[in-house]
Amino acid sequence: MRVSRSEPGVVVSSAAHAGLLVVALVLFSDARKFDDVEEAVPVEVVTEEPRAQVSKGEKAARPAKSTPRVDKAAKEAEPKPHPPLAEAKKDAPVPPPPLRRMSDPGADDKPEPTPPKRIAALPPAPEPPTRPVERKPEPPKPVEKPAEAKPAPVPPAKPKAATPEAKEPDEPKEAEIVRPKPPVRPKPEKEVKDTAKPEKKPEKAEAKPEPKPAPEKPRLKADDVARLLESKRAEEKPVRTENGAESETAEKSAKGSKPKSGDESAPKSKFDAASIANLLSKEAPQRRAATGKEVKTAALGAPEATAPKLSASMEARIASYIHDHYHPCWASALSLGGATFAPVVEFHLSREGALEGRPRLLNPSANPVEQARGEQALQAVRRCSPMRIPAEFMPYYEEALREVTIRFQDAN
Amino acid sequence: MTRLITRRAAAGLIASAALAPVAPARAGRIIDLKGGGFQPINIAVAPFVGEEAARAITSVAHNNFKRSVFLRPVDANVGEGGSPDAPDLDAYKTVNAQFVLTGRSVRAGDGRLKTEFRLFDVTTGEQVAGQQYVTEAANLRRVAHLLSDAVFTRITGEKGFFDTRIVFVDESGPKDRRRKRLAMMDQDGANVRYLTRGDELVVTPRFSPSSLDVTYMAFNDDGEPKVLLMNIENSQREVVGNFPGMTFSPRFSPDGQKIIMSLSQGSSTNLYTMDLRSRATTRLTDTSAIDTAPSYSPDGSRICFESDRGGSQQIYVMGARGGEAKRISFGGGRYSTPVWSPKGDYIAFTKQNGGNFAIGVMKTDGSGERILTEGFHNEGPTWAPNGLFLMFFRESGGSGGPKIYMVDVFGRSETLVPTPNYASDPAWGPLQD
Repeated sequence: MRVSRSEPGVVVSSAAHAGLLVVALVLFSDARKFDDVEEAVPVEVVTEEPRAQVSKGEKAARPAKSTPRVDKAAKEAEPKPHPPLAEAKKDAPVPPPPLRRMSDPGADDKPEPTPPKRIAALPPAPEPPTRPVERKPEPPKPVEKPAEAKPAPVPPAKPKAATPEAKEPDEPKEAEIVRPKPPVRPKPEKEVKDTAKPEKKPEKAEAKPEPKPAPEKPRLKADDVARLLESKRAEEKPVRTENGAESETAEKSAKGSKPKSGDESAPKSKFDAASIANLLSKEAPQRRAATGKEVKTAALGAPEATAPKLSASMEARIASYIHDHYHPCWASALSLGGATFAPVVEFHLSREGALEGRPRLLNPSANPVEQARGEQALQAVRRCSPMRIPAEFMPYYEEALREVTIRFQDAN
Repeated sequence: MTRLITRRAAAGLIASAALAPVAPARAGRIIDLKGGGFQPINIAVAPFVGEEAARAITSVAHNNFKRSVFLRPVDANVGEGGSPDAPDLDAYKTVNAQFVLTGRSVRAGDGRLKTEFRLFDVTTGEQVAGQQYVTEAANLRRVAHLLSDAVFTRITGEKGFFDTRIVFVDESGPKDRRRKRLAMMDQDGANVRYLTRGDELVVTPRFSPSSLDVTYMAFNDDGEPKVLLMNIENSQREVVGNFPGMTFSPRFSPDGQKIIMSLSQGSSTNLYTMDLRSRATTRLTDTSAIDTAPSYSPDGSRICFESDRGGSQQIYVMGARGGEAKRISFGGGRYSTPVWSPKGDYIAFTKQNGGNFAIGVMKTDGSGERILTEGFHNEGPTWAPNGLFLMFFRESGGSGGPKIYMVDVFGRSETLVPTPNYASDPAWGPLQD
């Protein structure tokens, strides 16, 4: 290609390409992590698994999405002490003492008592604010259990390394809570995590043999994983050896059980596809009868992960459901001044429909009547929470239910 | 062509690169929710801790909220396990309480009463208001009214009305020889005190904005009515000027410096104002009609009054210094006793249609007419200082006598105001502080 000043097309094109790549790299590196990472991982690990077996494996451990829930619950449980009220600026005026009445046309001789004197505003008492923490035992409790279990097995690696084994015994409970998620999810997550955190590999590897025997159902999907791993092994070997030399992927290769020499057996403590495959293959061979489609469906995660785009009709149905749920807690304005103000409240719901964090007024006002109206709207959200989320809406949780905004209008 | 394609491709790439950083689209959907019917806000008034004074304060506050229409007291016995500083808010959720009021009232060392209250939001578990008061023990009702006002304002954003007094005409005796005395009481009917002996007929008392003076009309033995001014603290009174003819319907201006009234001369009755300092009078209307029952707007710039200049009693609005008057009532029937709301947004009135008497409100341009109550004989509305309630008197007919009632501006709830005898012509005074 000839590059000339009169035809700068090539240069421009190259520059644009380069720019696009840079932008993409920057963006994707900053991209917000989705909650269901494990679901979002495009598990081309499509294997054949009967849907019935997939559905059987509901007790498989779910990765600790519980952690963010705990945080949210913790945030929610943090009540802010109410600021002390301003002190009364003036005392009640003392009326003149009862005078001798010059003409007393039958008036009563009651002396006028001294008006009460406001002496101080009362700041909030110190103790009460702890109560809200206790009030939220339900959602966090199941979530906290995995956290409590974590220190026992591997204290130093609490945040990540212990998660697999910590998850295992509690997975049934987690699974009960997050039933829609199929059990195969932890496997891909482990893959991702392993590749992301090399330093945790040894502990993970040690932990792995222990939990593996416990859940049978995850292995249903693991068969699919094993197959993929085996198929990929051959591809990855040369790649790994190449990558091992690069600094960027050094960590990944190190922890990702990537034998620098291409030796499959080398990374004993790492994510070894072969060892996994060997282990996994011992389990139910008959499960290989599942079709790729079904597994793909399952592997892609919970129903919501596979849910189609939120249609207008479904959106309207969800909005109507939310409207009907919160309507009983919202009354018409107390006064004429409040009738013209429409508070807009934003709040977040967990998958169980519980209120996460505090509802937020998006259009606060300085007018005291409108302030009171806004407070009534916030109260309406609190009083009518939690809101049960029907199963048919769960696939659209992220789009339509995780964050809700309501404009509360007067009836008149 | 190659060049064009290349340039276009480059431009497209640049454009797509520029568009790439767009944040992922979010629904941003706002759900519109229209409110249901009116529901008062539930408040649990936990018994104040203390002795007899505490019980009395609790009772007064509870009764205040019960009559307030906008607040509704709920069962407070469920939270017996808590303390005024830390009530058991979870227990109050079982009775759907939205707020909990706690407090204590104890004797201070000097014998005075020290009272404090705390208001909690049940949904957040947080204290949202609190205050302390010190007063003589004899003044405990005023403490209850003051804290009721503070709670009402905190919850509704509106001014309160509990710490106010009503001047009215107390009527006793047989109907044909009714004894009428000027009287004053707390808005809940307590602390009744008589301002006149009953030797002369008194009607239409009105509070001044300062709450220390009352103007009213009295008929002495010769039958001629006069407008008088009385100080409610010392009961001193004086005649407001000497006019030829009869004067009616006196009212104070919002600044308390003037009185507006109607003066009857011959067959016509016109409006006059009198400066209380200089005693200078100003004529506002000059017609052959009967113009009476004037009332100032809260900013003092306009007045509304009743006039039959159009052939029947209707309501008119005019500048406070006189000038052209504009009719604002057009419904069927006769309109009288217009009173401008302290908030400036509504005018209350009495409306007679056939044998039916109604109390209603309309906007200051005459639109939005709403009837609050109707019956045989309802008359004489007077506004609470926060513009949310009205008092009026109702004649039941027969051998009985009139009684005073209270109603909210939406007509949702009507309450009898307890008086020792029959009562009429209520005038609602301002907040005492």
